[in-house]
Amino acid sequence: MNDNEVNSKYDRQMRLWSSSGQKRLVGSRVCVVEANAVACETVKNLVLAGVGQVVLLDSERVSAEDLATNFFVVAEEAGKARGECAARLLGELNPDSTVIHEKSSFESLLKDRSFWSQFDCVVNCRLDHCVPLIELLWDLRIPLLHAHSIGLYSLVRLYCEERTMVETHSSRADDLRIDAVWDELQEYVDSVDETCLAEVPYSVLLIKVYQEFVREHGRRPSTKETRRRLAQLGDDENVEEAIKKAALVTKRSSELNEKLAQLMQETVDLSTASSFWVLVEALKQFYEKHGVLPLSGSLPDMASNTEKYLKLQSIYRAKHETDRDELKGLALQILAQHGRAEQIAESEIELFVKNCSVLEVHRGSKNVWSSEMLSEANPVLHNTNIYFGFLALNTFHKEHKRHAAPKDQSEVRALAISQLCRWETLKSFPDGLELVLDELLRAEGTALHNVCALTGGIASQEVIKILTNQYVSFDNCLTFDGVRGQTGSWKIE
Amino acid sequence: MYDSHLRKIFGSQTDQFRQSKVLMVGAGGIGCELLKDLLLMNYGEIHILDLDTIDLSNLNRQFLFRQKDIKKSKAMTAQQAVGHFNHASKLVAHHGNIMDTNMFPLSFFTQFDIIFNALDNLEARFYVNKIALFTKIPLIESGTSGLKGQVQPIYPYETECFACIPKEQPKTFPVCTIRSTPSKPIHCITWAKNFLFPQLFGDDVSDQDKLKPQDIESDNKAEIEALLKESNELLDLKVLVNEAAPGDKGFVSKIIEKIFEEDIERLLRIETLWKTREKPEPLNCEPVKIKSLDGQKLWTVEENLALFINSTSKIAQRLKQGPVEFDKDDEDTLDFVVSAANLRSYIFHIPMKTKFEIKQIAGNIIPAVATTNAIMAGFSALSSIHAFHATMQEKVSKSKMVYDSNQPSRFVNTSGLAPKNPKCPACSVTRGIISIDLSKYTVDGLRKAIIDKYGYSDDIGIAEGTRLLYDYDFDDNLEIKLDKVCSYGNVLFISDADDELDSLELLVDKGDKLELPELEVSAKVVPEEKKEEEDEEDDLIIEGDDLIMEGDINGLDGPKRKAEDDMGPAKKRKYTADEVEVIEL
Repeated sequence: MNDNEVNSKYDRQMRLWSSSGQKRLVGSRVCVVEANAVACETVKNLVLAGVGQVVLLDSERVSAEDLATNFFVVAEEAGKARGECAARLLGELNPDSTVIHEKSSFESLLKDRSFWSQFDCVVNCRLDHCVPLIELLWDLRIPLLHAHSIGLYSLVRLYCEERTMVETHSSRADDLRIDAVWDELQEYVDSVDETCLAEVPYSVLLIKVYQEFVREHGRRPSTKETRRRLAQLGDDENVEEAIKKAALVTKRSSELNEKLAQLMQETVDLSTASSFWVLVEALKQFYEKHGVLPLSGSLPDMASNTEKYLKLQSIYRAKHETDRDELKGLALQILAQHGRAEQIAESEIELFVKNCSVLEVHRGSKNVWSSEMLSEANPVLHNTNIYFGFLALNTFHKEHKRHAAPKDQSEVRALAISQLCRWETLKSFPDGLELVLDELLRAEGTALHNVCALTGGIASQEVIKILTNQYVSFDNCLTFDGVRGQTGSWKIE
Repeated sequence: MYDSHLRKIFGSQTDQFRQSKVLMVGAGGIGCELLKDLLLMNYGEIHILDLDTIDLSNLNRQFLFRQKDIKKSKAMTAQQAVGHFNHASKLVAHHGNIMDTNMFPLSFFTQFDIIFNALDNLEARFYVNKIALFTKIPLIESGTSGLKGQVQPIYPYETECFACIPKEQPKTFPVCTIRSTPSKPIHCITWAKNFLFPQLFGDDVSDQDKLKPQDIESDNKAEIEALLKESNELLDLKVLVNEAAPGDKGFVSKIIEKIFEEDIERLLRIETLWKTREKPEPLNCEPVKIKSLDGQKLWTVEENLALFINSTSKIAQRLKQGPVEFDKDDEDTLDFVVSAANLRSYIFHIPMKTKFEIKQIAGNIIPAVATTNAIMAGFSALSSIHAFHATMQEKVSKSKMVYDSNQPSRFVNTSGLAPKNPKCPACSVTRGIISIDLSKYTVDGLRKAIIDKYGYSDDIGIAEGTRLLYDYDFDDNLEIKLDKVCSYGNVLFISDADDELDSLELLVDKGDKLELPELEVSAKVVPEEKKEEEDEEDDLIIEGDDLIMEGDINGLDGPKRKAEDDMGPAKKRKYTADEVEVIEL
């Protein structure tokens, strides 16, 4: 296939993460542990998306249950190596990807750092979340997802020390700086007089009305007051647009959203920190100096005379470039102050400035459990119960080397209680946990394909976010309940 | 048959899956996933229906298809592709249009216990929704757009149907903006795709399609004249295209002279147009040699011109083999639209766009990825288990509507099903199925039977679609046999001449004699004023190809939707259907 054809094949998804994201997928390597239905569904979606290489780690044989729940095994291969069969069928989905079966036992590889360090992301689909694996990958700074499903329930958990996200694709209000006009923009606004009001983009109208109001009243206008004034300007298309967007006059350009303000407060060691944190420090200095963030520079589509629109666009663009260069200067200065010789790529700075108002940082945790989960204020109690249920079943499975069944009800309940008690003095059994345990026991460890497919969809979506480093990941635990058709997610600190 | 695992979880309900027949409409992104999920639920019989063939751009998510399957039927290929899996379901594939009443009459639908929609366009969705309302078969509706998606189980007349919440409408532009005073790239793209392409390469333009003075929303006489003249000359160009000899590119120069030079000069002579606008400049440049152009980058005007020449002559040659329509995945037609739009943008000093960007706009592309489809198909298949509860109350209360998987804090949202909207144009209507032999009955026979059965006091009107078959002032058809004026699969609209009783919709199904459904026709309560407004909107809006999801379907985006309603009608009422160029967005 030539480049054009490759682009056509991935066209529909490149509209989500563009060619830069696609390039990262193609160059990525992912390990998926266990070749059960959740794993194979996850791999299917990764291979279709064009992830370069997937290693499927599995040493089981194809069983009757696999044949009933996993689409990527065939009856003719019952009793043969499951991973090999699945890797072959999954590999056929996309000639651009390779799916390799690794038949070594999971346990034997647990101490092999060089095996794990080749991956950009690992997905563990076993029932056991496996603390040694969590520790090892945490150490190697490789993001780890744990995904598993029993009956109508499933679980997805992300273990990752830190995720810094720039291209979050978060929607935000347009950054038009109605209340923070700079010289060039002011000059332009002043040059617009009565005769050409119908021809200019709506942002100019908003600035005029805003400034006029502030002059007269000494305070900002409300949306309503702005609308009233705009209405007197006639009924041209740009006035209509301005009326629709009138709320923009209430946006304070100097205001930071809570997340960003918090981010700027963080202390990091700048002598070793990643370029992201260097840029955050530069952003902080920029903001302290100017009282506003660097301008993103993009101007939305507005009804206007073309020439006037282009002029305005060039004013925003020029300001963006000045701000970006200043930020770059600050960043280089910070690097120099800390005796660091490296550079930061222009493209990285550009992306950072474009997205600087919507940056996100997640700090992960290795903990399997946190005390908030038992608080009475927990809004997703039912979902955390499912999580506890999986933990109890895992403990049972480890002790008995088999899946818990309805006959094991009392033992599993006791296990769950003793586990919870070990973490905290428990006043009472969490509401509804018994019912959740019963539902899990009913399945005796078997999976339901539908739920696995859905869980694989969620897990693979998260892997793609990690690999492309685009969009915002979930943070950091989620369970699904197919009985109620509901997911709930929360953060384990 | 492996169902011990299903039995552990679903108990005796497992047998109900085995005994059920389901229909899956659409074998695309969600469809491929859904088929796999339904197979593994051991549904007794699954019908796969799709009219489409496989395209390269499907392969990033439609996992049942391979490179070698391109151009083959989706329905048939999907059926064969699951063959390796040792499933217990009987599969039936249909390659056809769901809206084709000959292929899929009502009796086709009534054999199913559940219908799954996995469609990509609003028209077919509304159609299947209507079928579900007539037959009262549970419908599970689904759709995705990028990382977002939704699943909506519909229990006809019990819960919100697909038409209960108005859908976002495609954008429209006045003819003048498109034809003489474009100011945004989208105006030029619309011009290239919806005007120039069909003018040059479309079927012979019938009188009906010709531009008429009253179509142009302008008080400017000179502008109207110029546009009319332009249209007539375009017909001459069409002759040139039709007569182009292989390898001849000379005719393209004539086209370029006409549309990028002469027409612009003519517009320039209408000075009133340019009082407040910047004047366009007729094209004045020479094409350069091009090899392969990068679709992600902006091309020069000379490159666009060269591509315009190449694609125009290629399409002209292909026309000799048969009709060519615009298709975003047909490189020649896409190149034509991209280059024509960019050249026009250049002339009007509007920024040009990359091929990648223009493809998205012209092709009405909805981003799509395997992950979201897998999640939504999983929900869709799971939703079907609730259709097997004993009581309607249970079915409805246990079902969940699913939407939006892109909110990291919530990930996937679900809510209970909303009750039907009493003002819904689809499910607030009383309707039923009439079983009849059309060749045996006259319009009058049907009229009398309806009056008699439902107690209309005096007279009724009967219409099929927008076509009137009978009313008090139009009795020409009374003695005519029904098969001359309507056919099976049609919907008859019955209205009370006295406006006392509600209207009625009857779907015509083939039968031996005349059997009318048992229906309660209640007294009319619709406030007239409101209705007029809605009718007008129906007239001017043409449905888009793809579903635009989010707020408009899940119905929870209350404030936003309300705001749109407030703004909407006033603005839209400016135009009528003939006066707008429509781009499906």
